[in-house]
Amino acid sequence: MPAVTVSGRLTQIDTASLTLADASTQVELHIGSSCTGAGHLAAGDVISVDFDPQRGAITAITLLSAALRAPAPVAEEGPPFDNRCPGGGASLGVLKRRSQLLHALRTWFVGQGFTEVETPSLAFSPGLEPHLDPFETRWRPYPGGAGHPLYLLTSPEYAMKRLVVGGLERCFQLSRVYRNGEAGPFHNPEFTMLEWYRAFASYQDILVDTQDLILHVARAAGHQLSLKWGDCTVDLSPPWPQLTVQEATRRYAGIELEAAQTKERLYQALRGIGMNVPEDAPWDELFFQLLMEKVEPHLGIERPTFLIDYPAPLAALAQVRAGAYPVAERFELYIAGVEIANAFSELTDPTVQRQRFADEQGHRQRLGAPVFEADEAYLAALEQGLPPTGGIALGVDRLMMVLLGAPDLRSVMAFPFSAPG
Amino acid sequence: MVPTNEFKKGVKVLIDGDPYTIVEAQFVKPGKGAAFTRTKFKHLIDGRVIEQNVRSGISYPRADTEEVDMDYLYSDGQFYHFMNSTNYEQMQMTEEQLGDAAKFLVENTSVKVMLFNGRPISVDLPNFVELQITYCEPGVRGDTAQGATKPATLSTGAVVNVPLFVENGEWIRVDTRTSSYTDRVKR
Repeated sequence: MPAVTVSGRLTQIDTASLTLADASTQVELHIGSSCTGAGHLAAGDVISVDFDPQRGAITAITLLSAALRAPAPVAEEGPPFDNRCPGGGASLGVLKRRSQLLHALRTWFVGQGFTEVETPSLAFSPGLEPHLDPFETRWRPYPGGAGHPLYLLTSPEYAMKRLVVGGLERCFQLSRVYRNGEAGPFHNPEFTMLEWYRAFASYQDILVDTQDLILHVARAAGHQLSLKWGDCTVDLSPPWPQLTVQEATRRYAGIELEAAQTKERLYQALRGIGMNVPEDAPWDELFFQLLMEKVEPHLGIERPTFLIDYPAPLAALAQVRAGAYPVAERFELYIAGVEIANAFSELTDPTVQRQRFADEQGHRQRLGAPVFEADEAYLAALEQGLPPTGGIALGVDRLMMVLLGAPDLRSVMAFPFSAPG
Repeated sequence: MVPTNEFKKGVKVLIDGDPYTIVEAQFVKPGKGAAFTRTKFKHLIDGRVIEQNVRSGISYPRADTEEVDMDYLYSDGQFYHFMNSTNYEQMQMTEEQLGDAAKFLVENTSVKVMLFNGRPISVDLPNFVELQITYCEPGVRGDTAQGATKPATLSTGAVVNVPLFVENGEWIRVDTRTSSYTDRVKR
C-alpha cells in the first residue's frame, strides 16, 4: 500500500505521536523512528505528514504554515475567536446557519417571481433623510487629484425604484449599506439590508410578503410557530397584529396624537405623563422620545407586530392618505421589541417628492447636517411614472439575531465594528 | 465636557450641578429617527439612579471628582476621620455622608474616598471586611441546618444574621455590598 499524505492543524504532539485536525475531523498518528522534520513543531502549526500504513507510522513531516501566535480554538458554538477584532464576532456555527438562512431567503423571492438585482453603493446624491449621516468619500479621476465628493449609500431605494419604473416590477436586493455614527448592540455602521419592491401593490401587500418571508426563513431556522429571544417567547402564528401609531401612543402612554400636532402641545402632553424632555426640542424629536420610552418596549413581545400609519410629518418616502388626521402609509415591523423593517406605499408624485426633498434639505440645514443635492435621476424616473408600488427595507443582521437567538448584532457578524478609543 | 459618544460606564458628569456616574450607556435610534444615547446615571451622593435618552452629540459637563486612597482613623462620635495615604492630609465625614459604609468601617483600614470639588462625598469599602462578633446568642454545636440564622452584633455596631453555630467573640467575613455574613475567619 502506498504512503498517504494528510494535512491539518497540529493540535497535540509528543515524542511518540501527534494529533491533526481540520474543520471536519481529527486523527492521531504515530511518529516513526526514522521520521524526518518532527523537530521545532508546536501546537497550532499547519503541517502535512506522509503516513506509511504498512508500518503504521509517519515517515516525514512538512511544515506548511507556522502558528506564530497561539491558535484560535475551532469551535462550532460559544465564544468568538481571538483572531477576530477586539470584542469578537459570530461563532462558526452561527456563520454557517446565517448562510443557510440567506439561502432560504433567496429561495422565497425566486418562488414569488422576484428578480435579484445589484445597484451601486456609491452615489453623488445620497439619501436626504435628516437623521442619517452618509459616509463621504471622493471620486478622483486620478490618484491625488482634487476630485468630487462621493457618498456610500444608506439605502439602495432610489436605484431600485428606478428599476421598477424601467419595468422590473418585482425586484429584491441584498446589499451592504453604510450609516455613519451608528454603533451599538443593535447598530453597526455597515450592515446587510434586504430591500424589495412590488409594483401595483401597497404597503399592505408588502406586509403580507414580510410575514410570509419571515415565516419561511424562520422554518429554515428550525422554528415552528414560536421563537425565543431574550426574555420573550414570540408566537409566530399568522396573521400578525397591526397597530396604528395613534392607537399605540393611546394604549401605552395615554396620548392622543391628533390633539398633539404642534411641538408645544406634544411637549405638554409628554410632561403630563411625567416624561423628562427638553422644552426646545422639535416635534419629531419629542415623538421619537415617546416612541422609544413608552411604545417600542411593548411591540412584538408576544407576537410580531406591525406598527402602521405614521403621522404625516414622518412620511419619509411614503404616500400620505388624506383624512381628518392624515397618515403616511408606512409600517415598521417589531419582533421582541426590536425594529426589523420599515415599509411604504411609495410616494409616486414627482412634484410632492421634489417638495419633500426640499423640506429634508431644510431640515438637514437646521440640524447642522451636510446638505446634498436631490437625486435628479430619481426625480426624472418618477416623472416617467412610477406605478403604485410597495417597498421595504429589512435589516438582515437584526433578523438573523432574532431568528438565531443571538443577544446582539456582534454575535451574528463575522467581524463587527469597534469604534476607536 | 463629555459628548454622548464618550458616555461609558464609570464616566462622571454633572446634571443640574450634581455629580453622577454613568452606569450604562447604549446607542439607540428609532426607525427614521434621531439618535440618542440611552443612559443610566447614578447620583454619586444619594445613589439614586435616573434614566435619560440623551440626544447624540449633546455634551454634559464633566464632574470634578477624584478617588483617593485613605486610611480610616477613628470616630469622635460626631465625625469620622480619614487620612490621605499619600499626602497625610486629614479629612472628616459625617455618619449621614457615609451612609451604610459607617456600619463596616474598621479603624486603620484602607478605603477609597470619592472627592467632589475637593470634598469627600462617599466611601468605597473593600467588598469584604473581617469583623469580630461582640454579642450573639450561644452557638448550637453541630447545627448546620440551611437557612437557620440568628442576629449578631459586630464590633462596629452593625448587626448581621449569622448561622446558629457561630459563637460570640468569633471573627467573621462580611460582604459589604449586601451587608451579609459570608464565613468565619480564624484570627
